[in-house]
Amino acid sequence: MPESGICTITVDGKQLLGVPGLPLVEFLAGNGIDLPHICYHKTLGALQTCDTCWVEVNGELRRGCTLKAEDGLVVDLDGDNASNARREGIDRIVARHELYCSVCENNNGDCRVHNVVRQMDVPYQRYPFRPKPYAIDDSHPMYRYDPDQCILCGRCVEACQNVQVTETLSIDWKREDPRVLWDGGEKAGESSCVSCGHCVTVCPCNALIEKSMLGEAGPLTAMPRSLKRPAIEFVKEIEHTVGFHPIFALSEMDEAWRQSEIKKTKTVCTFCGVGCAFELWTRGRKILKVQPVEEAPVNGISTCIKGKFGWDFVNSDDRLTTPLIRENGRFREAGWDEAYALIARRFTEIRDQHGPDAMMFVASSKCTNEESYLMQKLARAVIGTNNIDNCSRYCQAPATQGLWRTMGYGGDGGSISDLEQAEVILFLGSNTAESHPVLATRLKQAHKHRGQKHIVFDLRRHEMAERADIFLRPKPGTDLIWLSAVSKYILDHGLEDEAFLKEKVKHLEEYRKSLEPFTMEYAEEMTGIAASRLEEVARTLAAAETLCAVWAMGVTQHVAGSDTSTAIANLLLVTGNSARRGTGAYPMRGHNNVQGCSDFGSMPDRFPGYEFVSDDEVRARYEDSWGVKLSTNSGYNNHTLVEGIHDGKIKSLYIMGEEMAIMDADAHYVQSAFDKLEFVVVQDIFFSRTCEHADVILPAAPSLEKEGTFVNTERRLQRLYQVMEPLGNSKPDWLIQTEIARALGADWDYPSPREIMEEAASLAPMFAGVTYERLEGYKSLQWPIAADGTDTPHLYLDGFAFPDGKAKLYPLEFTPPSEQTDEEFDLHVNNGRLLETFHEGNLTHRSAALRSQVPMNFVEVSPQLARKRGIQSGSLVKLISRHGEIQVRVLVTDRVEGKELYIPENATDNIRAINLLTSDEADKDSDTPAYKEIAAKMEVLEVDGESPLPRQNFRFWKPTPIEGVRTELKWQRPDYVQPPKPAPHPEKF
Amino acid sequence: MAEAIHYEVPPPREGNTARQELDCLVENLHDQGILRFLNDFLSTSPEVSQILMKGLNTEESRNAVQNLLLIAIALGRIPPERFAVLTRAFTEGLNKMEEAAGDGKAQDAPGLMGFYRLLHDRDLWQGLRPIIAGVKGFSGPLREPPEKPVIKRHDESGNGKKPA
Ligand code: SF4
Ligand code: SF4
Ligand code: FES
Repeated sequence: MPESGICTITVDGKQLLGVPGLPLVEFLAGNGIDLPHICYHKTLGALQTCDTCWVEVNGELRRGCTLKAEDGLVVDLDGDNASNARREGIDRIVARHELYCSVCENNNGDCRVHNVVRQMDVPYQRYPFRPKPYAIDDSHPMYRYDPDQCILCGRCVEACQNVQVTETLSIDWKREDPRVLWDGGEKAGESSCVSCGHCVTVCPCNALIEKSMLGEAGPLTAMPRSLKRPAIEFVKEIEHTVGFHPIFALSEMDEAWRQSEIKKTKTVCTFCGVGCAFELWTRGRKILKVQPVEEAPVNGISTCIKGKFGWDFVNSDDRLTTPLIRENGRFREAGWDEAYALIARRFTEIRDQHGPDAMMFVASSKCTNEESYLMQKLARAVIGTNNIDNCSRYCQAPATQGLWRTMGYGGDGGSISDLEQAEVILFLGSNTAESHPVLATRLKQAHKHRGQKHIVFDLRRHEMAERADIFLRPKPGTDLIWLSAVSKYILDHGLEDEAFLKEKVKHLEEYRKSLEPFTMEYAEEMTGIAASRLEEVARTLAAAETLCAVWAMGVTQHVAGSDTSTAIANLLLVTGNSARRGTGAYPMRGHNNVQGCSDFGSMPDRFPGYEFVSDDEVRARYEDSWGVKLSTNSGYNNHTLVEGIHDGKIKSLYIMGEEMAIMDADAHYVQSAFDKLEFVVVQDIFFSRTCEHADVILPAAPSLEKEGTFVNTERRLQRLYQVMEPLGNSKPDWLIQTEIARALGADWDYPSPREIMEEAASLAPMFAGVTYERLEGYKSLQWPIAADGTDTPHLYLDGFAFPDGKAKLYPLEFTPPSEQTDEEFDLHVNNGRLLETFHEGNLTHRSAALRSQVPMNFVEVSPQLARKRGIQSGSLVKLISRHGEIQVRVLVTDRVEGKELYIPENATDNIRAINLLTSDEADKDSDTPAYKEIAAKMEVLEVDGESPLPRQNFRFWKPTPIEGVRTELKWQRPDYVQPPKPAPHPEKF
Repeated sequence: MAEAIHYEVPPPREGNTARQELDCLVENLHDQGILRFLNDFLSTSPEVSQILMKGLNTEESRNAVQNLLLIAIALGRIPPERFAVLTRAFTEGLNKMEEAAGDGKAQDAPGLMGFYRLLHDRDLWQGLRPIIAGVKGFSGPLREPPEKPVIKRHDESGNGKKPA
């Protein structure tokens, strides 16, 4: 009997050991044997299209990508039959794909076609290459499809249909000359393609290639097409005589030459909280492409449009590259020393005159953990104030509050893999497919392939809603009511997880009592959702073996954001869906490091690792290490600071990488507060609206120009490496902070972020085991991380994070939204992110690729309302709330309904930005602005105008869902014969 | 007071030292006339390269390149140690020829009987065998119809699959 987990197979008479069940290709690879294969891909599996992997088993030819290793399997690799079949396979491939490697952008060592031709030592072109009857498709702004080079392996189709699940690509095997199609058509640029780049990433050759690579990859690739063609033909003539070998030798020299020029650096994406990691391929400052790799723990081969194509902003002409100082009503360039001297002098004067609490520090959720740590240390240890916060105040602080109240840790309960495993997912106020795209792809996969059930509560019919099993639209701001009604129904009908509640949860009785008002009738009246539908939801949730809840800003940005988050946690506890694999609470962190920024102490009342500043023992630990006495005064947060300035309490502000003047609610009120400040330092990579208020502007470096770590939404720490040098005179934020601290007399001396992390880990028990070595390459750790490096992918498996290990049900009452519609302000304005943009757009607006998809922001108007108001897509309207007004173009869409409007937050000026409409109201428990509570009226300014979204935007097109590549249709073609028989028309498919 | 003021960021400039070095390089290139040549070349490069490519794409030059490559391949297929033997033999042979040509002694023709005797000279036979084998090897391919060498080479060596 074989040992469990190991099997023995015989290959060409030799015995090999490996894992049973592995595809033979993988099994052999594990034993150092490289069985030729092109279409097989670890993530995509066996597509069986390339016919290059044949082996013989019991006299029968089998494809090595589909054959599974099992004990006793006897495989013949080198016999004539298998060799001839493989050779026929690759001959067919080169009949479809012209080998001109030295002038090809894909000749970078990872071209599967090149590598297999070389590996099989193919001597010459047996079947002539014949161009296809299709032109190159250049219609997509980010990538190109060349039917002449396409080998019809189907990897792109599989990636689009079954990994990304956008379901745009297909191959029409029935055509005379099959090719890849976009929504059944021949133009990628006019299709439902969301530009996630999966297809380009997995294409084994140059048939699909990033436009950023064209003419850039190698020394000879820049040749104009008019020259390339004759050059290729010349070489092809010679190749008839000399075969592939000498030509290949040249292309390998070319490839080696490229390797020395192309730098490949691992980085972590900064466009959302999912935490995708990938390689950036660069030559100097030129970004050649983003190449995801399978070992990336969160995303594997996946990216979204921003991660794959949105980095050109780093080379934007208007990057800040030198410090600026305000002088006589204008900014002038200055040296770093002068800027530091001015900052040190003014900070000292203000502290001496008004005390340290007259100064406020704002860290950035886009910067690294190390930079968050330094910002709070600067505020606390160098200046002596707890006035330090970050922009999680604008988004997820209520979720954190809800989890602190009930479960103990302010972070996702498990990992993305738990979400994948769950039987049911409840989405609330989360447009996951656009705000957390790569996480959504994994859940769309579970939904498509495994029948995972999706229940979506949202105001808007976004993609997740469109695909959901149950989609319900509650009235704005009423989620707490239906959540509580569902919990009550479950408890009243004995559907709760009794054992779990008994063993692991406290305060059931108080909670049960607090639910009394939340009857189904009340819920129906208040939310507008029929009681029967809510009962159906209650029964589905209670019956689910494993349930996860995913929520985002649609829940948190309300006056009762913390309460609604708490209600979600309560519901999970009642149904026993926490502290187990495949269950838990998952607030979606919006920015790349919004989790880490709080984790590393940029909050007014907490040190790194969420220990309280008010805790004497904890404070003493920091005082010892930092050698100073620390303040216990309570600090201002990002929201209360505005009031603090208006009240004359705060005199100076140091903002690192946040566009507060536009992104804090009630922008006029914020900007008028900033006008009153005595001294403002803004550190950023672009001249933002906030910079306009600065006295000193410090040019910082974006993530690609520095090192450090981020924490993603599932509490995962990952390292980013420096891709390129900081532009001009700009500097990484950690270095600027260090130099400012030194200018203020502190003895800071951090040579690199590594030493900053060492200090943080030595002080915060939550990160005790974090070291740069443990995060090397694609390694990652999920907090809490014990000193020995053991991390925690699933929270609470050993009990909840309270002294007695028990979770707490938390009684709640309903608080109505602050802004109600009335006769005058008759429209509710919802708002949020778009797939193609990040936050206000300071970065993504500077990416040509991204901007081509969404050139401006707009307001989504329902067809009903558009009819009533006589407007259409392109009309210009003025929206007036009780706090301000904006002008935006209209996009008519049935994603919104009735009098519900939706405005993407991507605007950077006072004419269009959503926060000109929002109020100063905030969550009563966490001070997160109630961004989602806006009532407005509409004035029509122009009826005719150009649509705010270009025609090529994916939102206008309809996908073509199919189950995959459908290779069986290829085999059914009358002109398909199984290798080794020669193909009658090898150039066709 | 921190009243809002706007600022247009000028396009980034090179660092000072880089700039100076670049200026210096440009000056030198100009002095040597290289810059003008490069400029001319770059501005006409597609045309020039196309002319070059046209020139190369003639029957004769293709043949020349192919022949050169064939010689290169043939050389590539001879293991260096054997090639060393060959060159030594070649040199030795040349030396002998030179000696023979230069010893000034007139040689009579061997005559029929002499030729018959020669055929029985073991040493001479030993010396001639490789040459004869070589001539045989050489004349074999010469008799065959012209064909793409690459197909022949690989299919005979069992390296490639037999064409159907
Ligand atoms: S375009 Fe698609 S089918 Fe064609 S070679 Fe690339 S991945 Fe394969
Ligand atoms: S924006 Fe988010 S989903 Fe997209 S690549 Fe970046 S981290 Fe991944
Ligand atoms: S790898 Fe097996 S058929 Fe392509």
